[in-house]
Amino acid sequence: MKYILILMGKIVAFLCKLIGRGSNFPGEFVSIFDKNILKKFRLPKKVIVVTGSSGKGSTTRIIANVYKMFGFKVAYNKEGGNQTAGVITTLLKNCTLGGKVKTDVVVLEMDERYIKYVLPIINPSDVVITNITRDQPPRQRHTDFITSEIKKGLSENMHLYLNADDPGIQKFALNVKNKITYYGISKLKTSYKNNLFVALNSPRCIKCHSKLNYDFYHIEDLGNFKCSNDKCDFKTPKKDYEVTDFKDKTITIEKNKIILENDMLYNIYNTLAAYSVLREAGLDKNKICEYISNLNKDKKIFNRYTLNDREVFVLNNKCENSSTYNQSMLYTYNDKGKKTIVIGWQEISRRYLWDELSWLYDVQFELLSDQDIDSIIVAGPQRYDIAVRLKYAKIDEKKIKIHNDLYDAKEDLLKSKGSIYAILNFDYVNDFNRVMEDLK
Amino acid sequence: MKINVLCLYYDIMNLYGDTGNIKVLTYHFDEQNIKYNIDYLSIDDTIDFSKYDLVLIGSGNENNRFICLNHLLKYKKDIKDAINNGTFFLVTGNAISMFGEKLYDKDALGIFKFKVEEAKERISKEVILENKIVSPIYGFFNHQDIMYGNDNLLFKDEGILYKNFYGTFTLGPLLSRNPEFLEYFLKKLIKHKDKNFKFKKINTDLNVKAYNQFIEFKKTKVFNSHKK
Repeated sequence: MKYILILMGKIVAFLCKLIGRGSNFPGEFVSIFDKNILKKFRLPKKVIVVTGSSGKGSTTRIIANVYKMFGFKVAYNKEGGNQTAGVITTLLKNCTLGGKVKTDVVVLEMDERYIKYVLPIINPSDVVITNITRDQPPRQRHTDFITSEIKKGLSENMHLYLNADDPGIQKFALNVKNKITYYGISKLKTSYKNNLFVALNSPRCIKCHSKLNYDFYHIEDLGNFKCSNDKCDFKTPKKDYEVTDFKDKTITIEKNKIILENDMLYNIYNTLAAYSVLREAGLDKNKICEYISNLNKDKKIFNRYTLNDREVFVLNNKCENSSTYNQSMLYTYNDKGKKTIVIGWQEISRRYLWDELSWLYDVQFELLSDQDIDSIIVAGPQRYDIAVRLKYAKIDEKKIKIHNDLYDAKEDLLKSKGSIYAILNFDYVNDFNRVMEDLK
Repeated sequence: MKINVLCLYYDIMNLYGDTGNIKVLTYHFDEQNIKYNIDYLSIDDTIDFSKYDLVLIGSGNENNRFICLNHLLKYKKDIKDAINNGTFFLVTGNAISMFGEKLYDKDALGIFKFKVEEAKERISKEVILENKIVSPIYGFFNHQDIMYGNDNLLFKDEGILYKNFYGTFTLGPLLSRNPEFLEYFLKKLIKHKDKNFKFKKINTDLNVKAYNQFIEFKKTKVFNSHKK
């Protein structure tokens, strides 16, 4: 029965591939006949799972590709199915008819909510939890809930990888016996002493609920922290892998350099997480750096170009995830020159009909108010809601230009001055680049 | 005139953009040339409720809410006195559940008669709340509480209105999204302090556009999804 089912699954996966779709369907299909199909696979020793609110896709991609460059055979859910069916699909494509996964390594990006179903069965050797931030509140409730949901899938034998700079993520290290590898960033030029943001994810000590003190921040509540209560020992853990320098899209780690895809802070953390996993697997550090840099060198850069001698930055964000927008706020804040900002999206959520707006008040738009802003162009169905938020961030209403969509905004874009920072939901990036093409 | 505001549990009861309401109020205080002071206090502070004209509390996760309730219990009488003396409260999201007699199996503040049980399923949805005060309230619920025995409803089927206590399960930016309610609340608050206050124009032009646009948008969005 198992053989027939796996054969059928493989055929379905092949047909799906022909029509260019179906990162989930083959997995869903075989699950109809056998709910416990996941238990029928035999996996290699090295199974790496990456989860978290953001960055899991990039981290997975780096780990899988570098393994391949080292010459290993790798199974990974490249097509993006990151729930149970997506995992089954990935394993189906890479196994023998007997269910033995033929690759040396399995690397899986996984949705936070499916960890508890899948991990107890596939029992991965390594688990990376990139971050737990405010994300899709109508679906994810809050960070405490997501943390406890992920914990349900973890067991002692799994090697965990955690961001040392993130106080909230340390909940996974509390009262557990797991081997834990910590990564983080030392004080950089862009680090700051006085908090620019509201601590959204971990406002207090996770052990005693006292306030946290910081030597410096990288962003939001990430930085070098220590509990204000003398009797409590909670502080930034010792980092096993540390980025010691960052400039011109290049990070220094263990004295080697890695060229990043772009110079956003989240990129450093994703790369660091991947680097830590690869290093702990015993791979050569010089080669890892070379391979990651090569991955990024080949990439065509869409996020930075010039328009009629003006610099254009296209910053990708996720609606209902205030942390992504806060990264963009900090990025523009660090450029002290004159600028025009564009903010907008097509849809707040693709998952549900509701339009939740509370996260707009978790984004520190106040950081825009003391910059040299020519104008702020807002577009999309919630353009007035964005404008209202900007008004309450003390931004001069006259500077806010409101448009139905980005095509409507062409004239204002041409008239505007300074560098252009487009802070967009991912579903508006193509539209924006098209408009920019037209204006050239 | 100076308005004293307490933003209570600003750090751990600010789960869904709730402190946005402070940004809204201070903007309009500035606009009306009203002086104000805001105290941001939390679980390690001592609170003198008699000092304030307005107290704001927002949403929290289940653990933090019990930590706050524990901290608030010693102020039970002070809170009751403040409410009876006309102090304004603006309580958004699941914070309102702390003001009943029971919150799940724990004793709550006992200011109001209701009891709160834990819902089996999370109540997470967009809401349009009809009411007797202003145009329907647009908002969002994201909590896990069921309230029994509440007879001081603020909106239809929901919330608490008692003297100047305004509580609702609507979370986050209640005031910015509902300009009529914002104006109503702002005027009540200021007139309570100074009966003869001469108001300048309350600038809610953008808010009104956002409110109307949202209604229009929802019509097309539902329509489109039916087409699919």
